[in-house]
Amino acid sequence: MKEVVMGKDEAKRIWRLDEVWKGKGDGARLKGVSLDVREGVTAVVGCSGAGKSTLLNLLVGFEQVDGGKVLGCGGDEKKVGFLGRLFGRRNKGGMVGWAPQGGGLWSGMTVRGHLEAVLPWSCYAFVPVGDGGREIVDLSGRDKGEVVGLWLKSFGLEALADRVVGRLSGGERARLSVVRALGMCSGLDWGGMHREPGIVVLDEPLVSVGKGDARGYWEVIRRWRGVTGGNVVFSTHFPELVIREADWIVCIEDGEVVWEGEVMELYERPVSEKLGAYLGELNWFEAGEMGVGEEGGRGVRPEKLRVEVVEGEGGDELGWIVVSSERVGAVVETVVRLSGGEQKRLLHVGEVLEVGATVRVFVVDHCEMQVKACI
Amino acid sequence: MWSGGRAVVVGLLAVVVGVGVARVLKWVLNNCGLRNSDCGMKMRRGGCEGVRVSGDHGSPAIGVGGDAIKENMGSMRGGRLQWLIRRVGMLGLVCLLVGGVVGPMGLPSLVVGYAWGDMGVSLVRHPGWNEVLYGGLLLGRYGVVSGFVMLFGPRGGTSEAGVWCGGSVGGIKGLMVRWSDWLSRGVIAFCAVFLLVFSEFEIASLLGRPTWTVWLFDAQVGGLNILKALVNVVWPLGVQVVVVGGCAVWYLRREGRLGANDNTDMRKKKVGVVSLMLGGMWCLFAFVLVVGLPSFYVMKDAAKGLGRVIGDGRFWDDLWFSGVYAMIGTVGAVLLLVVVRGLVGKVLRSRMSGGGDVVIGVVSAMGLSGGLVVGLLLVNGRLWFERLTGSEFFSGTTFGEWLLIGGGLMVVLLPMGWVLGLLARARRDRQAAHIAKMMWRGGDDRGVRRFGMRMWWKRSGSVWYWVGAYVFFQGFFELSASAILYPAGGTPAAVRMYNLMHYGQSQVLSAMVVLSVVACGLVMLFGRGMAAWLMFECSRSWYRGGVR
Repeated sequence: MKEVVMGKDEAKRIWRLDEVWKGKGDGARLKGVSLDVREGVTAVVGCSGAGKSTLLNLLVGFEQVDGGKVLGCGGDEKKVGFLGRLFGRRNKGGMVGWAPQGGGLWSGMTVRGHLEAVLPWSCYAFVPVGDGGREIVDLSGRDKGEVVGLWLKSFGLEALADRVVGRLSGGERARLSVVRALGMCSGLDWGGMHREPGIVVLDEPLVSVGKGDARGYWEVIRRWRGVTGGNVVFSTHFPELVIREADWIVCIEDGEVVWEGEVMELYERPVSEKLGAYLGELNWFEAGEMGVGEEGGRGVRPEKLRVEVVEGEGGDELGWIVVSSERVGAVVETVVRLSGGEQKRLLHVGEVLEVGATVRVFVVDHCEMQVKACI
Repeated sequence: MWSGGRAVVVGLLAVVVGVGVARVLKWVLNNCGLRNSDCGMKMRRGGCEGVRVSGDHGSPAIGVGGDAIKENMGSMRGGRLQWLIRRVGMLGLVCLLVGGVVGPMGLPSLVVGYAWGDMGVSLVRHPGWNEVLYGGLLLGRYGVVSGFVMLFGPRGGTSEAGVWCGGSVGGIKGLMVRWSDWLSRGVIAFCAVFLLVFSEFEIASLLGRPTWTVWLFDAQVGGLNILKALVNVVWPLGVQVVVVGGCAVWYLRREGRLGANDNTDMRKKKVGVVSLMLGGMWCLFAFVLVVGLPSFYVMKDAAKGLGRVIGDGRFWDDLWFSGVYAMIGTVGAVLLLVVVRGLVGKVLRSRMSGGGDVVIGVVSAMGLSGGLVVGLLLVNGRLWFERLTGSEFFSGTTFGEWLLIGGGLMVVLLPMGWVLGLLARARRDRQAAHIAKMMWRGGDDRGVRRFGMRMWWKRSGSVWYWVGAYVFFQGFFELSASAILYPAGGTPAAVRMYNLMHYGQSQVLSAMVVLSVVACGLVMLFGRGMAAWLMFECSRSWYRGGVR
């Protein structure tokens, strides 16, 4: 179960995009995007080509904006220049780890080498141990092989430790890319010196990994967050992943941010059918349907729609007639004929209904607080 | 017409041999020693003892999973000496093989022309055979460039999987997809070789072959005025602008098509044995023709003349001047490209995609007119400046004179700098390099930042260094602009040697050639060593102290 997140106004901002453009005119990949990325877990969703990767690339500085500004990592301070970096200075703000779609792995280097390179060997850091062990470890003087092994084990890569990346499969590369990004941001406070929490940016992470395995890897990410206080920004096409992992959601369509806010707000009160669909199955009722008086319609999630069979004859006057009904995974898809003769598709939980039965449909509002548990 | 026809024929042949060269180079880079690169990093960062697993873990957190890790660590154990010998041996082998493949590109044209000059003169009554010799030398030399461009240059934008899919689709479309990658690489390689052959001067001059560059140089010696020179240079310039412009448009369209998420397919593909052997045979032939035999001719005489040249001491001055002029030209070209790119980026931002590259390309195109025209223009400019201001800054002061010839070289070197810059940018592991930069910029502890810096240098910085070093190398041996612009008492080595080369081979001249090649090579290696030292050793103290 996720922790309860702070309200939109309370959460600290980690990045601000101000009228950001990438490209020009109608073909631009981002069109004047203004957005605050807040601390916690932010999911970026949208269709293919909507601009999700471009947005993430701009956040990590891989691409430069063509217009507007990206102010980032906890403040608006200037980044350290080449000479400053040469003399060992670093940017203020937290470390940013990045797992791009392509992986961005270092060819010619082994899996173990990737982790050894990025872990902060001079301070306390998060090390995924599991089994309830202590996960804050002083890495200075610690055996590197062992620490790296623990990281690799947590992502199922321990058997591949000495393999060069050129010989890894797509799924293995995806896992290595994510574990490297986490390792980069695993450092903790040391000697009373305060560190800004790290930010991990993941572009469609673990997409080529089985769902069951991915759930375990996300558990590691959650533990990393719990220990380091780090933030995650990720893009995805999976609604269940957003609901399970994210506090905030940013919806992008055709290079524009069409909605941003708390995940549960979009889940409970989607403003349009398309936006609501980013978080999974949805029944959409236009104004006037089912007594919906709201302008523009209303979205109802399947678990909040109760469909009850009405006993006795009476047909259209009593309710709607079931035309077809079948189970689709966890929900039932039922097509009903409305009193006016037109048909409507309903998604609901419960049993498959008998064709020809008369049904009534209710929206259950009282279990609103239990939505996460239902999911 | 001779120049254009020859450039087309050599360009096409270079594409064919370039495929083989690219395969050999890829095989060498894939199979020799590169897998151990991170092992070397491990050695420097903490030694092999770092991977030894101790029985006493100290912390219960760390104890979990130790046994499993021990098994994996077994293969990493080994003597330090054994590792060192293997590493040094591998590196030596890689250097030898890579040197063998790219060697023909590394020997200056002036040296190749000098070594084969006597043979060329003896074939003066057989122009056909002389042309074959000249063409063979060009192909041997620039076939390597073609292979290099094919391997490291921009690709067509279709992934390996895409090519496979195209192949299984069949038909003309499938064939197009299947060959589009090689086709686009071939086009860019052809254009690169065409330009190099078309503007070649030194070998043609020393072998007595007719080219527009030789004609222009001879005419200038005979008193050609600037206007006539400009008129006569219009068509060669036009040809080059069309070729370079076409390449640039293609490149920019490709960049727009691929976007920033372009990434390399890091899985290694097997290289066919037959093509590998054919490529290897060509590399051997090219090496013998362009490096081996010229080196032999030059070295056998050089040993005897070396003592006289060193004893005389005057040639050191020539080498010094060459180095200074080339350095001014290189630094100027790099700065100009960076400044123009920065300015254009500021001005055209959000208005024009790829506009920076187009403007830089237009600025760089000045250099395509060749060193002679640039030199003549600058000499006339200097005269105009003196008449206008009465100042003799560019002819009366050492700094002004150096600035003039350095400026000339800068303009001549601009196109090469721009093209090499595009090639360097087209490398396809940009995401990996950016992650290294992110570690360098914001790593949690100094060790991470230092590693990020080193990784950035390995993935990106060193590539840019070699781009600059190759431009310096070209500037060091540049002849035509230097011949017009060098100040009295400041003769560059290339001009001195070229003037003597017309009298045929001699022991002293061979010694000069060897000295100049060695000196230039040493400067490039010294610069590389200095940069690496700054990055790896000197930085140790700046990054000392763990956190922050």
